[in-house]
Amino acid sequence: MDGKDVDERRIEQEVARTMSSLDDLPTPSADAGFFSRLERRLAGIGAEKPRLAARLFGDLRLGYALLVVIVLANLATAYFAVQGMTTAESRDQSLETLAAQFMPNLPGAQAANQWPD
Amino acid sequence: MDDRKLSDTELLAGLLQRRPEAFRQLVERRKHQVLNICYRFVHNAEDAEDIAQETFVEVYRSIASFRKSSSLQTWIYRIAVTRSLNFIRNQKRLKRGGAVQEISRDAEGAAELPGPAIDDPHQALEQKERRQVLAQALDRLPQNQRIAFILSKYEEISHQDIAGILGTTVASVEALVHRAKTNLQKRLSTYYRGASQKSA
Repeated sequence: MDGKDVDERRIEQEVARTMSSLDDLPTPSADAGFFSRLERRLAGIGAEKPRLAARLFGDLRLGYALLVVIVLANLATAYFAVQGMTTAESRDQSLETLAAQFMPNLPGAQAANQWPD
Repeated sequence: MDDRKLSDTELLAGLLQRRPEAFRQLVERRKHQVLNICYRFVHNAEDAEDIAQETFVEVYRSIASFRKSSSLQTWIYRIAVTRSLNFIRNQKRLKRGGAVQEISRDAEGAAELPGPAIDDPHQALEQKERRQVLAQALDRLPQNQRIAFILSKYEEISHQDIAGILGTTVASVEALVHRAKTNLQKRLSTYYRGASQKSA
């Protein structure tokens, strides 16, 4: 038997030993307190505080109140957005008039200088 | 408290009615197997107990969804296997950061496996190394082969149970175990051949 065969045989033996290395694993046993710990865990889960959204929407009146607040906040945002646009428009017009009075050579200024008939 | 041993039908009816005594009996009957299933996947007694408890919590919560297409015990074992695999996946995700870390985690996990008491420290070290190598090789198997192989090593779980857990037939389970062994042998041979060449 040459060295190569010896090596192959050694590898085969090692593979077999490795394959069976989990065969003799011990079997842990659940102790007597397993169920008590499980009961405590279940009780803990039951007592968990519900999430904020669940708490808010769990109460119907509180849910409606929150909805009204959200709708009002949206309306207020829309109002101020429109208001802001109007202010910007009038500011642009004022600037054009000013430019027409003091810098008549600017393009568009002559039109602004002419009085309507 | 009613200490009479409930039949399987009574047990299931009791669980569906959320009777505490039925749940207690179920846990007492199945805790050992569930714990050992988890242990064979996660290789750590504390983690295995934690997963076993989570398994029973899920059983308690979702018993109404049990469809009786399999036996109650197979359903519970399936939950235990799924939870164990999820645990391993989450652990890997947490420790992700390179293959080196993953390999070392596997090795650590395998190292935690307590083997039989071996007096010779050299032998004990060799056995520990073998378990590390096997754990790494197992990790690279397809999931169903890995499940079939690991569970087949646990004598208290029948091939019928494994078939129920995997949702397949007993013949398929036997084929999976056979394929797993063949793949493991190939991988291990390659590994030891490489190690032998390095040391030469």
